[in-house]
Amino acid sequence: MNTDKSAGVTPAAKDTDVAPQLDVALRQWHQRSKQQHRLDKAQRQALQQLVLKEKPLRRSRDWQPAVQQVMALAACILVLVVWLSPPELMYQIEQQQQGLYTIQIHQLAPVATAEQQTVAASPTRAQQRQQQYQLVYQDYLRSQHESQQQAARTVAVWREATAAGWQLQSCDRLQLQVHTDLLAALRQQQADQQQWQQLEQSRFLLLTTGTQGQILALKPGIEAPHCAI
Amino acid sequence: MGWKWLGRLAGPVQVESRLLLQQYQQQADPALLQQLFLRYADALYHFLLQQSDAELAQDLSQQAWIQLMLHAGSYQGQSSVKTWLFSIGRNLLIDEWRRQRPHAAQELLDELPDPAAKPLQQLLAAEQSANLDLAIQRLPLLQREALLLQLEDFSLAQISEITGVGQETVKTRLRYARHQLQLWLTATAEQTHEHR
Repeated sequence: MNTDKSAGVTPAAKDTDVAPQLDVALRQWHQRSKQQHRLDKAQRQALQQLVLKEKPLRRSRDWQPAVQQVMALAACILVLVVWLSPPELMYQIEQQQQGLYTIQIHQLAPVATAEQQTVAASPTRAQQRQQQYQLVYQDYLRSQHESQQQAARTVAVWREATAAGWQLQSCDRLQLQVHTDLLAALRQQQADQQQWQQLEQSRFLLLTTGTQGQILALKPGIEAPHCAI
Repeated sequence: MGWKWLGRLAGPVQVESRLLLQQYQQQADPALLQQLFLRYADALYHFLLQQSDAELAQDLSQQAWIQLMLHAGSYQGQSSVKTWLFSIGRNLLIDEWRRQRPHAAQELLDELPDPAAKPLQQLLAAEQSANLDLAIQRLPLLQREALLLQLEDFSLAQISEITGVGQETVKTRLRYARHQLQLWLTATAEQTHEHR
C-alpha cells in the first residue's frame, strides 16, 4: 500500500498553479478546525460508554468448533426426537363376520401393533379369527376390485353415532364401524368445519371407499338408501 | 515539507493500532479499545462534522465505532485501522444521506461538474463572504471529502480505498478542489485590496 502521505499533495500542487501558501493555509485551517470541533468531555464519555458495551463478534477461525458443537447438539436433538416421537399410525381395517353381516372396523392403529399382530409366534384365538377375517376381507376386496374395475365405490349408508364412533350400514349387509380416532383425523383434514357439522347431523351419508376398502370420502346423503327386499 | 514529516510519523502509530485491534479481537479488553478511541475519535468526528452537523456527526461516530468493534474479528490488517474506521464512517454517512434525501444523495454521489466552469458572477458572490472555512464548505461534496481525507494524512491509495474510486479520480478531485479554492481566495484577496 502506498503510505506516502505527501503523494496526494505534491502532485496536485504541481499539476495546478496552486500557491504553496494554500497548502500552509489548509494545514493551519485543518488543525484549527480540529481543535475547535472536538468531542467535548460529556460527548466523549457518552460515546465511549456506548461503544464499550459492545463486544466483538466471534472471529472467523473460531467458527469451526462452534459449528461442530451446534451440529453435535442438532444430532442429539434429532435422536431424541425420533426416540420420543409417537409411533406412526396406519389406517387399519378389521373385518368381522356376524351371521349374514360383514363388519368392518375402520381405525387408526400404531404400525408396531399391526406388525406385532402379524409376526406373533403363537397367535391367540382372536388373532386366528382376525387372520381368517383378513382372508375373507381380501376376497371381498378382490371381488370389489373386479366388479368395480378398480374404481372407487360410493354407496349410500345409514349413520348412527355410538360411543366408539360412527356405525355405518349399507344395503349389502356391510356394517362399518369408524373409530373416534379416525373420525378425529378425518375432521382435521376437513377444511370446512361447517360441512363436517352437516355430516354429524345427517342421518344418511354417501360413503366412498377406495380400492383397498379405505374410506375416501363421506358426504351428507339426500335420502335414505334404497335397499332391495 | 511538513507533510512528509507527518507522514513518516503516522506510520508506526498505525502499525500499533493494528496490533491493538488484533489484541482486542483476542481479549475484548476495553482498555485496548480506549487507546484506539483516543487516537481516532476526534479525527473521525471532525471528518463527519465537516460533511454533516454536530448531532449527526456524533451519532455516526458512535455507529462507526460500534461497527468497528462488532466486526473487529473480520479485520484482516490489509488496511490501516484508521482507513478502515473512516471507510465505515463514510459508508454510514452515505447511508444517512440516502435515507434523508434519496434523490439528492445520488446527485451528490454522481461525478460533479468542474467547479471552475461556474459563472464568474456566482463565484464572485461566493468569494465576497468567503474565508477558507466557508470556501471549503462550498466545495462540491466529493472534492471536499477528498481534501479532508488528505488533510487527515491519508495517502492517495488510502483515500482511494476509503472512497471506493481509483487514485486518478482522487487526484482529479483534489486538483479541482485546490483550483477552486485558489480561485476563491485570489478573488477575495483582490477584492480586499480594491477596498483598501
